[in-house]
Amino acid sequence: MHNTSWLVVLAVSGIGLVYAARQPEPAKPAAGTTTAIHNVRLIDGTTVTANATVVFDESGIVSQCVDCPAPAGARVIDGTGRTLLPGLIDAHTHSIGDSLERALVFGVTTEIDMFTAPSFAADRRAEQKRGDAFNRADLFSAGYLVTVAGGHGTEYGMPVPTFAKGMDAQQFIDDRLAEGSDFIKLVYDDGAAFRLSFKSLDATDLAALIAAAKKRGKLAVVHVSTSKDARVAVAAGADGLVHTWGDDAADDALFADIARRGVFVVPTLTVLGSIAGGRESLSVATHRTLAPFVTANDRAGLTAQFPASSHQTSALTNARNNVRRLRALQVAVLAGTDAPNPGTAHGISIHREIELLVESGLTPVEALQAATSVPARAFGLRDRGRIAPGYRADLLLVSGDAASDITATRNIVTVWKGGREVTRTVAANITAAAVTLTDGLVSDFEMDLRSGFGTEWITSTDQMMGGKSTARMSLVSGGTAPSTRALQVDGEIAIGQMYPWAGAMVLTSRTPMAPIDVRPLRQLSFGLRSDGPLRLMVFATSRGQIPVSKDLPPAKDWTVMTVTFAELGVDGSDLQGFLISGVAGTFSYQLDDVRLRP
Amino acid sequence: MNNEVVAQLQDVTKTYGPTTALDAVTLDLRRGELLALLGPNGAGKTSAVRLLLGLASPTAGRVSVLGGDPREEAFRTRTGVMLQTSAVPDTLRVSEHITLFSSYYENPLPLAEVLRIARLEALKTRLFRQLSGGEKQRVLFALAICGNPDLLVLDEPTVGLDVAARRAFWGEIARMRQTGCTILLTTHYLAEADALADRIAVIDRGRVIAEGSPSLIKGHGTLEDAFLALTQHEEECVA
Amino acid sequence: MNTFQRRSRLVWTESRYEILKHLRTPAFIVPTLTFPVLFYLFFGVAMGGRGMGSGATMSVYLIATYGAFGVIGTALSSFGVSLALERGQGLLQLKQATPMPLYAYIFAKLASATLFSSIVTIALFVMGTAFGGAQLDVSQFAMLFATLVVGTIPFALLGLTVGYVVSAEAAVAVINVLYLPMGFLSGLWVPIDFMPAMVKQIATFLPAFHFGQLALSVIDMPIRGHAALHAVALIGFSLIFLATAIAAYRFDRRKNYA
Repeated sequence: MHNTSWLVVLAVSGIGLVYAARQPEPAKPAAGTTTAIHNVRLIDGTTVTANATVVFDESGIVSQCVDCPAPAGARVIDGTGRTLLPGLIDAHTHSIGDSLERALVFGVTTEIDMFTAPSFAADRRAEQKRGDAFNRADLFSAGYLVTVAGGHGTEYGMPVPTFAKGMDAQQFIDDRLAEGSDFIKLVYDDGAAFRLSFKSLDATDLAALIAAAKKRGKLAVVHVSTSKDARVAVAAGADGLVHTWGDDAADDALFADIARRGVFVVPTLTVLGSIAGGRESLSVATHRTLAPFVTANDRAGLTAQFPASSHQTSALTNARNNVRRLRALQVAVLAGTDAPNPGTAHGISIHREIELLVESGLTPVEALQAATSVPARAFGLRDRGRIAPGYRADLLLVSGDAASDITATRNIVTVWKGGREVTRTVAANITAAAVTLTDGLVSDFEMDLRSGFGTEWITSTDQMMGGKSTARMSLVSGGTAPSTRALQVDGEIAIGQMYPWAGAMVLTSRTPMAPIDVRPLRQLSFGLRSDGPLRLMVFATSRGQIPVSKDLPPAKDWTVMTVTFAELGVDGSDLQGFLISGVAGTFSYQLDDVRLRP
Repeated sequence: MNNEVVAQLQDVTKTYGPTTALDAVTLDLRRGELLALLGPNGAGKTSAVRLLLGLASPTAGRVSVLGGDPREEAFRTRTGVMLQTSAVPDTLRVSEHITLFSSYYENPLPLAEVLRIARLEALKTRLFRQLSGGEKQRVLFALAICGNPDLLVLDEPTVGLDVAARRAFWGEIARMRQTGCTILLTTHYLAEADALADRIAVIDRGRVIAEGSPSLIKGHGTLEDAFLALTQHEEECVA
Repeated sequence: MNTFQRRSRLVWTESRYEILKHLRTPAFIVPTLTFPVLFYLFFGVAMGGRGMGSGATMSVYLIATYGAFGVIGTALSSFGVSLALERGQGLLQLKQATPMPLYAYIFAKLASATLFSSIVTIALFVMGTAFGGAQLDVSQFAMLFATLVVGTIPFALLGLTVGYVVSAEAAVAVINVLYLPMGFLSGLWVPIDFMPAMVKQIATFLPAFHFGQLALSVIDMPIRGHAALHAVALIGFSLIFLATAIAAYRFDRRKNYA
């Protein structure tokens, strides 16, 4: 009897395990329309198939076959003379603001981000998990990059946790993973390649941090700029290098080592071309089929340049040679743009990157793999990068034969994200959302820092560009009657920056830098009290990256000031935000009753 | 021949549900002897064999083989078995079968010796399915003896053989006896019991109704007369 | 020769002859080894352009599913059919009357099943690479191979359960009734994605389904649900079938060796 009860226990535990392991069929929400692309040239991430028919809906790719009709009931799209690709994956970006929305317009459905604010990444991930990201590319992010105090990554004004000698490497990595990092990106660069000077991790710490990441089963990729540094990174166990080096000093041993260890490389040729001082990245902005979708912000990014002092004229040539050699050794090469660095813009630049890869010796199909299945495989993204049943329906349909002409990817017919067609708005038609303010009130600071735009006042300083100015906000009693409270801003403008600024700023949209249309309101008025001169800065899309400024005279007592849009050179149709900054030295001001008037 | 008891059923009863196969049977096997267990079909011979081989448990009473309980592996290492209802895989060769079974035992006989005793030298490389009925029986016999057993249990070993094959088989058994092992042979062939046994135990309907040397059992008649008399007598008693 | 050496020799000899015996039996070899390969050539390679489309992907997918199907077949026949036949023949009884330990008998069957599973798997790999255009790297093949071999366990135990209970005559039929429909309903012939919703529901109760999904996950094919949970399900089935195998063994013992 005793023995029989053991058997029963065994059987029951078994049944328990089986039952627990049964996963309910993922509740398929109305999987939207079933779409079939008929008779198309299919590049599925690994092979090219002619006359294919691909059927998908919001649950993913359903099926595909060759020389067969589309199923009944599906919305049929003719693929004759066109190529269908998996949605492109940009393997090296820095995503913030509307980067992901811009990327999708150009067919990039996934961005692999190498450094962004963890809170931004966490919000995006939560949306993706909910299945709520149909209008933008998906984000996979390293969160904070791993660097030292004074190292590359700390110069952007965003406070970044830094690693110091003697710290516990495992704890540091675990902290990053706790912030939500999908993988770990480390910086090993002393800036010499750009005639800059950064502090850097040393080789031992680099190896320890990489080992700590691997212990948690996460990828560790390394930013390097020289072949010397690449050698150290590879020896330290890097899974991938997220730039190729711009010098020609690499020896055969380094290439052999990369090939043997299965390290993957993201050459980022576009940004290296920009570092070389070239302007070729502009060619995408003027390409006939892409130009209508290029916004002022995109153009600003594409035309921006690295400071001349940092130029490395042979960087692109050397990088192309590196790619040639890496390809010969069958190293995995991934397409990444390093957007939004100077010379690049999210989404559009990937088309230039794959063209550069082809110019460096890859076949068009290999370059397309570098922007689809290869990064998906390298980063463990098992549901994308290929077109096959079960995979996400992130798709790009272009006209022409991308397998023989890589620039065919620029002739975008349609983009699908998660099985839903993406609406690509022509730039000129990007109308700012209209906003209604009660009595035109932006803020009266009676209770808190909120504004009528749904955003809050924040401090903004030139620290994000490497400056040292500071600003602080607080709520104080007083203000222009009948208001009881006002905003007090104190700060200091530091010397050293070309365009210093520090002060209180309000953005007009919760998506940072998204414009709104406030017409027919045409003026900005506010109550101001300050002991020194100030500057009003207004951001509008039509003005590009640089805001419009207007000097404000000091006002010892509360003064209501009014500035018209006309005198600023904007029309109110694309307002992104405004900021009131000190001019020089320490400053202090109080602000109240900010309004927009007709 | 000494009188050491090699195996024993001590007051053993075996029932299968309502059927009684053995009823308070006591049987001794002495070292070096050949005991023939003689009886008609259904008498309980196979049950006795299975109990001695540890393939079944007595409902009452005690079974001991070489000093211990045959259900434990340790007490089967010196026993060789030939069962009536056996077949071995068709696609292995004679020598392969013997090698396999030999590996079960601690001190097996050399292959050549086994082949000699069972007269299988010429058939060494034949596949089992290529053998005639008599040859197959010889292979099963070989498997029984290959472990150099102290106790050999043969359950109706010559069923289905023709007269010549049966006689030849008796010769193999005789050769095996030369090694000094003890043999329990069950049969319903009277002539077989008569020819081979040192002692006969007659069993019918689960009971041993007579036991002794062949001459004792035969008395002044033939074994057949004795057998019929005994079994009829048993019937009368029961009635 | 000490006891350990002797016992190892015993197990080795038993295994060797178990394998040899099967190798010389065409009725065993042919279906076990060739059916999965033929199915694969037919569906995976010849029909590669249809169904799942894009030849490469379909042919890789089917290596995993037909591999699983083939391995289940060898396990069920080595343990189920073979055992039932030997019980019916009286061979098991004869062996049990000798000092042969039962574990040697079971181990030999396991060795035999493993060997034939390996042969089927390697044959499929070769077919897939040579004719199906599959491009898996060595580590993926190794992982798939290991998964298929280890995954035999629940099916071996299922085979044992059936082998101890059914008669020799019924064995082949019973095993086929278990094997073929289960393989089909688990998406091992035709990918589960193409089956109706009802079948997909049923499949989650079948060990063959979880086995197939686990094999697919190991070569980066899209699967339903997490690979880890499929492994858990297989462990669960192993426990269930271990219990049933022990119970079946005892049932047989009580029935025939009371």
